Amino acid sequence: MIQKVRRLLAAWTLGAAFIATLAGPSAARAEELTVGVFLPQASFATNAERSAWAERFAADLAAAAKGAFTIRAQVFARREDAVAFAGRVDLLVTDGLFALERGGEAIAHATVGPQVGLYAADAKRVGELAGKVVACAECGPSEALFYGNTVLGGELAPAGFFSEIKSLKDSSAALAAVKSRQVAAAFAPVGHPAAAGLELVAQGGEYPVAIVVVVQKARLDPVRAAFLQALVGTPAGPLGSFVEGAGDAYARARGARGQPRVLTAPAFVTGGAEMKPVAPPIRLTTRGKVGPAQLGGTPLARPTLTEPGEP
Amino acid sequence: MSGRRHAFAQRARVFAVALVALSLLAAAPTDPTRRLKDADDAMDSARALIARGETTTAKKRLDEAGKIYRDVLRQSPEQREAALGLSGVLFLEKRFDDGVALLRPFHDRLPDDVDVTHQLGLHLYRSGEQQNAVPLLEVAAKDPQRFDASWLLVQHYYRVADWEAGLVHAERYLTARPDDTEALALIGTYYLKAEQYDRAVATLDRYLAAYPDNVPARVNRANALFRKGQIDRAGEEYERLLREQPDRSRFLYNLASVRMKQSRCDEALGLLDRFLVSEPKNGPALYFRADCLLKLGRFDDAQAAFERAGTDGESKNPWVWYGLSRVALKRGQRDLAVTNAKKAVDLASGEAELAAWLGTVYRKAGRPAEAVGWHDRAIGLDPGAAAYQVEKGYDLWALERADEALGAFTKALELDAAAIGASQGIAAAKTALGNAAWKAGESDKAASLLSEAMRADPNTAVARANFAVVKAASGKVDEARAALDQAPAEAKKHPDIGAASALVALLDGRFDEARTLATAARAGNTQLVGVVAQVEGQVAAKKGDWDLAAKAFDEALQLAPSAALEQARAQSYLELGLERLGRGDGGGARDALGKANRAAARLDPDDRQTLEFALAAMGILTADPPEGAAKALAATLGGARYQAASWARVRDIGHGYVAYGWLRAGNTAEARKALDKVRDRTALGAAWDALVTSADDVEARRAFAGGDFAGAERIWSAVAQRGAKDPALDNNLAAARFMLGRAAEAEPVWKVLVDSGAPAEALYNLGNALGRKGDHKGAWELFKRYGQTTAPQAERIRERADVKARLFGFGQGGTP
Repeated sequence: MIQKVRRLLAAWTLGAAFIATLAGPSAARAEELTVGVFLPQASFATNAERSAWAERFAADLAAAAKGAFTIRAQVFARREDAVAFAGRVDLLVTDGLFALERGGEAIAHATVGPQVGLYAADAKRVGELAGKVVACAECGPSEALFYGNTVLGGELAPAGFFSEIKSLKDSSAALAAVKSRQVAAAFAPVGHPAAAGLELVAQGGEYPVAIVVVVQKARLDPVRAAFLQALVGTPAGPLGSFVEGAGDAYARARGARGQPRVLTAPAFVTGGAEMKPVAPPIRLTTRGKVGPAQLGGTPLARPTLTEPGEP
Repeated sequence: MSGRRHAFAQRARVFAVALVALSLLAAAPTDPTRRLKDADDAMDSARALIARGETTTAKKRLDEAGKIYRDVLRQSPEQREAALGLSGVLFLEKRFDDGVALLRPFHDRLPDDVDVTHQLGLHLYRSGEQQNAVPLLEVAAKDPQRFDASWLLVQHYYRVADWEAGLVHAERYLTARPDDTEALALIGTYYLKAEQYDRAVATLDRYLAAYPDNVPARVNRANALFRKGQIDRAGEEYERLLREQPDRSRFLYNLASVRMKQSRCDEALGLLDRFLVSEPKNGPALYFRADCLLKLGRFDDAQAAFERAGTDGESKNPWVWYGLSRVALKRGQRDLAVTNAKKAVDLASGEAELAAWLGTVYRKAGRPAEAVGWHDRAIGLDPGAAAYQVEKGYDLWALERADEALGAFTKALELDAAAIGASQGIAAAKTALGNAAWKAGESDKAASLLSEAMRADPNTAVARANFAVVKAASGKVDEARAALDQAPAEAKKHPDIGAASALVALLDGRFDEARTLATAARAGNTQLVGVVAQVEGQVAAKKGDWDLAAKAFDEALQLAPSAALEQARAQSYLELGLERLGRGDGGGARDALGKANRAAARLDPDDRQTLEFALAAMGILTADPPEGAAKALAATLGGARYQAASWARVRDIGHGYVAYGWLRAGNTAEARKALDKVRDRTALGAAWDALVTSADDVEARRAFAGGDFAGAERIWSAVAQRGAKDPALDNNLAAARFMLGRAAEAEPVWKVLVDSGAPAEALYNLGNALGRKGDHKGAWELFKRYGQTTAPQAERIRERADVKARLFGFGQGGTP
């Protein structure tokens, strides 16, 4: 509990520092949109890299807006920060699972769409990881179920199979923990730079790495069109670019947070012929009989007359 | 020829001796007696001398004897013995005219004196008065001792070719002198000429045993063998003769005749060609050569040969046109055959055989009406020829004038008891007339005619089979059986006899045999298909094979419609329909009941109502959706006719059908209502329980599908407690319990089902339960097995097995 409070406090301090950094001089007349950035599964190797990207993207977006609005980016390095401060921004560019947990209108998503993978240091099969500790980026409470239904195809319930699922601040950290043998394996988007050198023991599903979610609807609505236009027109570096709508991966992820089928699949009833109704198999009897043979008028054999050979 | 001359010389010596003996016999023991004794001694001496060839001394002795006989006659001119003695002298001196002059007065005076008659006959014959001599020699020859007279007559008749007259004497001579081997050649020839071939062969055999190289005798014997039908032996003799004398054209001709008789036309042809080199204009040879070519199927050559026979052999020869007509007929050129036959008749209008041939050709050309006229003409020309009557019979048969054909065939048989084809013709005609009588409903007359047909030709299977059918149909099975038993062995194999035998076996109650016989008769293409169909139908009905019975009666009915067959057919289709209905085969039942319904009037009234019920019940099996049919049957059962106690069982079964209909429609409430109306559940037997269970099952499934696993479990559990034994029920009950979290109860049930191999769902269910417990390997194996079945979910479960295999490496070697 004390640790949690301390972490929250640290996040707040860091967040405040970023706010100070990003709150540059801006035209007072133009609407300023505050965009929170929480992307623990994106392929940034370090916090600095993530921050640099956010700064660049905010600037490009503002430029694309051509004065319709200005942007202030606020980067969260950990889930606690995002949870604590997300309510204060106008929009979030955030992890899919986080977005699902938090709710809100998803208006765009990044085109980058990696599969979800499980990376191990010393194993080649998922089966070898039974009872081992695995790690993942801390995104939302349903993440273990999501991995169970995607990477593990619904055939494994991670909670029972692994001894522990450790949530670290992002996938870089999770993969680093594998490399340092602190954990046996980690879930991360396939192709993550930090996964280099690790064994991809399973993959499946698609990770919604970056979703744009509306937080302050009243603040966005006046410039919604301009914002979307600028958003889709702005290159997003390692995220590819943004397109309108929540995207298929996000929609699928929404349904992939339940218990895996290995625990829920129903039994089958037999629909075969065995229990089908059958007509009464009863031979009705008759009174009449076939009468004796009556041959009157039956055609008799015609005689033939063969002539002897010609003389 | 030298042999024959030698034989004649021998004969002459014998006569001389005989005459001397006769003169000695005539001598009397009186005064002249002593002198006559001297004369006779001189004659004996002369005879011995002649035999030794001492003719001069013999002449002296003859003169001495002659002097004595003449002296006696001078004293007593009527002295008979002296006259006979002198006759002997004159004969040896070849003074036949003097002999005649000497003896004629004696013969006039003593016409019954055989010695005188004999001697006078000899003298007359030798003096050239054969006409007058023969009657006298005939008288003398009656005495076996006077075989020389016989011999002379044998030669005489041989010369004048009067074989019949001479044969008597030949036989007498042979009896009198059985050891005269030399005479056998002539006598054998007599037999040959008199067409007594057996004797000819036997006689010539004896002759040739002594004189094996005598060519004429060999030729005659070969001819006799040929005539008596020993063609091969004749052929061997001609072969030998031809080897010895290759240039004798007659041998070529004779051997060719043998080869033709042996059906070795190709060899005959070669021989005839060789023969024709030396005798190129020989008509018969040319004709036979053409005939050979015709028989060999070389029609072009045969035509050319017949034409050559016409030009080289004999121009305007009607037989050539006859031959050309035969060629044309063989070639299928029927009109040309008629034209040529007409030419033959034009050239020889009085030739019966040619007129008959023209008639035959007309018939073969499909013009039997014209044929009759020509055969009548042939009969007019040769009323005794049975063959023409037979041909006329064929014409009339072709014209379907069976009664007149019968007349012609009968006439033929009167003329010649062995006339080829006559008996068969009579049998066929009487069979046709018998069949007509049967068709007209006169079964006694039919039986009588068919019986006569059988007598005319016992081999005619058709008449016999028909007779048996007619008799069996009239209830006289014993007579039918007897007729069939008496059939000749060959006729017994005839399919019509088989068909009639099948009928008799049926009427005897030998059903298996009847069926076997009927099947064989049908396979043999019997004409008695109507009989066979009835046998098959009756046997099938007895055995309860209603499908076969119905088809058989169908066929029999088409051949000869009758009320009895309509009843049999309707009854069979009703039985078949009820059988199929009982099996739940609605489509099959519809077909059969529909056919029964078309002749429902022929059925027993109760069966008609059963049929009506069955039609309504069948609707439930076949209608889709079945609600309407269920309501209709319910309405029918509510009718007054089904309320009688005797219909209680049918009514209860009907309610069972109604319930079934509602179950098919998924309406369990209506189904239960219908089942409640069943008064006597035992009438439905196990079916009642099955229908109730089906209703339960429908409801339990509905509950399961709706997520009401507890409800489903309750119903299935109750069904199981009622004692229903059903793997599907076991699986489904376990499924409901599994869904209720009672996996521990479900798993063992599924294990048992998996081990017993059914149902497929148990594989999946057990695998699913194992997977949930973390036994992924066990789950994977069962999923894989389920994925190999044809179950509807198999593909989806195969995919789950694949995921497990990927995660754990199952089935890829080195699995953990």
